[in-house]
Amino acid sequence: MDFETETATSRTLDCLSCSSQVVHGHVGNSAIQFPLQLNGWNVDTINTTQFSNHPGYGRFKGQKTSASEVEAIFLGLMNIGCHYDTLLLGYVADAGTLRTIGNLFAEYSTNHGARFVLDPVLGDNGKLYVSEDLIPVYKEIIRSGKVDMVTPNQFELELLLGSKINSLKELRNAMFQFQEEFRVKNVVVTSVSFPTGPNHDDSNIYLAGLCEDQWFYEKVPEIDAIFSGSGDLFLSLLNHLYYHFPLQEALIKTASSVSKVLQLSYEMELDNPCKIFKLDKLYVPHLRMVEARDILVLSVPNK
Amino acid sequence: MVTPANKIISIQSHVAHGYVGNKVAGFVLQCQYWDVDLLNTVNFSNHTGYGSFKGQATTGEQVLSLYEGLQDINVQYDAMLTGYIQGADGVEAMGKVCLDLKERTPGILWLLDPVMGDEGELYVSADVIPAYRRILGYKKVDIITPNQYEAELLVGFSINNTDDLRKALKVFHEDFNVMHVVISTFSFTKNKDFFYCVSSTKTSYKKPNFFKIPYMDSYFTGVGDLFSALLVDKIYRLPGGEPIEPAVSNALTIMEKVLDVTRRLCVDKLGVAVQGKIGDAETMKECELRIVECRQFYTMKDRNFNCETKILTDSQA
Repeated sequence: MDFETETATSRTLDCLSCSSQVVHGHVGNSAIQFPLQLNGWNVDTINTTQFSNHPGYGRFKGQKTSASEVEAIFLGLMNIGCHYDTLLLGYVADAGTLRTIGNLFAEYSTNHGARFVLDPVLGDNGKLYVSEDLIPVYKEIIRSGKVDMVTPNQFELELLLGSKINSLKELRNAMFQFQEEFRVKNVVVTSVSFPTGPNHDDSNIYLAGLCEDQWFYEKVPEIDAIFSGSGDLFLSLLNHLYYHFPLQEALIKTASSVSKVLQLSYEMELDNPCKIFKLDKLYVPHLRMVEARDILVLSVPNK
Repeated sequence: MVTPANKIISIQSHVAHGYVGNKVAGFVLQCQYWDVDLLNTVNFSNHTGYGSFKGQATTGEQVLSLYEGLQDINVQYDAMLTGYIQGADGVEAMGKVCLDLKERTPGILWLLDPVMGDEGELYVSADVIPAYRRILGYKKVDIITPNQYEAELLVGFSINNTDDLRKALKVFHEDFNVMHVVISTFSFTKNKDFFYCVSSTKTSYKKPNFFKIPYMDSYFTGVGDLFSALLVDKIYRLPGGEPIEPAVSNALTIMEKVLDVTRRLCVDKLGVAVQGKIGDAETMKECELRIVECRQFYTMKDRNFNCETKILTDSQA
């Protein structure tokens, strides 16, 4: 057997990802799947939508998958005895579907010891882009105690806790409060910035992690643009790396890789801009996943 | 500066688990430096060979609506790939999408894989046969990749000898104006040791090329979908566009590697190779192509298959 064939026959990991699907662009499952595959994961995907493109373009066509169909597909997977190491729950468009899939994932992770990672996709930059009804359902799912890691951005954390976060100190307190109130071991918060106050920073954004009683934060250079799909890409790579590294190390590596992908996408967008502006910043609707493939391959120690 | 990836739309099935249709094409094309837009013609839990599955087909109307959404934001493509579509309604919608893209983008490459069945068994609704014929009648398809049974369904007669083959190729090249025909699995006799992959180009269709391929004692699914996802890339990247035999040989070489890895892993797990569709989920899962495990193969340049050119003379009759 040659070396390449030998490499190809080594064990892979299995992930089930439930998120949105768009024909064009890389958000939801279209951003989650490829990075994990490049790192050797078999990714099963339950698509909660089939849209032509991300709504950030201003218009789109397509449909949501109904709660009953999402449930049917999950049951179809169980009927053929699929096994998963991790479960990822991302964008779900309505409360009924979210409750259904949340319960199914919680039950599977209890019975099979799979790691359940939840990204409570609600909004960004102070704007809610799903129905408010989803907020209590996310809380209910997280409170079940079955979720291993939650990855809100700052705005989503504020929505789930019901209070604004204005400094690093408040962020730290909020994350400990969240961990205790929702009984979740790992909390990762992305896209944190403070418009005023002691931790205001013009050129960096923060991200922070809490693993059991260890809290830490990192600074990453801010790119002056608005992206779609960056949270999904982050979730994907974090899921890969956290399987192999302690949370802090996984978070640093993830942030570095995501920053490079965003930078590349931003530069390629400048060559041919979509000319959409959001919050007075250039909108970069299309992550250049294929062009960034070498950045997405993140080696891990052999297990 | 980074070269932008090539852009392709792939209209095929989606399964949550396993590797057929767009689940194969998406990743395999991404690995070959294509930014792939996946338009899913079904949304199933797994392929139907397992004996049980859940999910629904996308209606023709929904396909057209998604395409309208793509046009609204002015998405452009270098190539199109179409595969499994369950019913005539979906096939017709796919035809409208691809014909419209052909009109908007001169030079866009269209590979149509008329997925209908294999070895005498139809696994789509019978009304897709005339629907595919109507699409071919517009004379806009660049590459078609039927297996022998599908080729026979499209031309309307069975192919039992070289004369039938010549007539069939004539239908594809002349009546349907297809530039390249690649019949993925072909055999005149019930030979159990090998079969052929036949490729033919319009400008020299009386001289098709035969690639001899040994049978593997295993049952796999998604093999045709892998072949089309490799071939569309290899043909697109041919410097002069033709002859396409180097591209076919390259695709076949990669396929052989993937099938070898898949078979090894299957035998490791089950102790034996699986010979046919049996509807038992545990066994069927081991027949899934190891698409992720084989990711380093898709850009290999090796061409290990030689072909033999046969000259097909006009019928003596």
